[in-house]
Amino acid sequence: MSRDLLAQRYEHVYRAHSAAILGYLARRTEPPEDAADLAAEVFTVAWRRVADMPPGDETRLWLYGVARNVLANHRRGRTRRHRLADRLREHLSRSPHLHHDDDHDGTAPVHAALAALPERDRELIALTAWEGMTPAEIAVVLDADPATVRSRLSRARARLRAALADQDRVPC
Amino acid sequence: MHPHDHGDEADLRRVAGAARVADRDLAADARLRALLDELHDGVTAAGRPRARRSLRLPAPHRLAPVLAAALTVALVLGGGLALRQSRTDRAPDATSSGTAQPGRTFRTGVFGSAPGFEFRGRPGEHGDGSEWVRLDAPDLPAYLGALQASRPLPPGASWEPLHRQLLLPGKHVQMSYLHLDVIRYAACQWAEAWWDGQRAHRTESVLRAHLALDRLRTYRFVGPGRGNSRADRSYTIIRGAGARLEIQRYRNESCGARWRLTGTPR
Repeated sequence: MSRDLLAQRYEHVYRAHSAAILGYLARRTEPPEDAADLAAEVFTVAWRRVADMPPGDETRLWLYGVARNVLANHRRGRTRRHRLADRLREHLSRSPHLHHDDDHDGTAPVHAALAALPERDRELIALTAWEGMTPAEIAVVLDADPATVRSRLSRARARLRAALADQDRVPC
Repeated sequence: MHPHDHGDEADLRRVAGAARVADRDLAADARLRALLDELHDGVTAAGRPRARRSLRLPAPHRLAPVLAAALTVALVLGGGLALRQSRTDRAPDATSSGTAQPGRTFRTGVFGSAPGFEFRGRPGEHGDGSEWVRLDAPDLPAYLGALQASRPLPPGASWEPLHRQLLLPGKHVQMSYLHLDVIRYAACQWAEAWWDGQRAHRTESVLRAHLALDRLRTYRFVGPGRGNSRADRSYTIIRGAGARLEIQRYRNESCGARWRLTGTPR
């Protein structure tokens, strides 16, 4: 594939998915503006590997897989700062969409219930509820067997139900 | 979504409503879209895509069961895949020793042990006849980049931590150890990816890491030495045939908190 075609492909994929990938990262980083550097890393990797991108809808899922690895490295303290992302970071740090008070919007019990779940359950629930993925899609992102994802997700939803019930019993 | 009872759906709706930010809000932010466009332009201007890799593994659950079983047995019995021989890097020849312009290039023209350039390494490490390089020279990052370009790291991994350790003002290291540290660092990144794949039961990730580590198990450096001699050394990065226990041992002994440069920059 010529470089022009690769660039066109990348631009198409980027325009279609960059906001969603940024959202995925911003929902999982603290502070949320760290998502700017992580998004820059994800799309730098994606540009470098554009020739390897799978076709069709799998491209979107492949990007989430890259984002997941970048996030894992970030949590291990291995993030590099991207100057390219400085202005994006600054914008995110002032965004009212990203900075609001959990206690006032009533979401604190949900966040507490999620925090009580094992990390693997939390990610399965988050990919379902926040990214709107089906178990088959989650299986591609996590590079796992779809049947395994379905059974783990079923158990995770049961644990979520119990954790929410616990939180709803806690007096405010 | 898959059908679940009313309670489960309500729980998921609560979680969805508690998301810090919804994608639609980000997509509706015109300033954010402009900044993402800016990021796109910066990323595509700063780097270039790699050529498509000729070897691609299908996801394990898409492999025919017989093929998957055969691959697994081969890995277990063979202790790893030996698809390629180890690489040999050849450092650029000096046009003549001692002619490098001070402060302009990473080449010093000083080879092996010389006054002010004695090797400092851990017990068991020894200096060799290869050239000392300046770690703060402006042309060294490009040289490192060329070494690294043929050794891809796992998705999300970066060469930056190694650069922070190596690119030190006023310091020098021998060329063979510069090369060796690039190889060892890449091996650590892939050993970490292998470990993550093992823990998460991601067969494809483990296979990819195995392939990458197999290419990094041994390393041979060939470069100019003092006078007309050659510095030619072979190193074993991961002992044995690269099986599971050997990768684990390498990871435990040489990576993460145990990571150290070969030789001490001086």
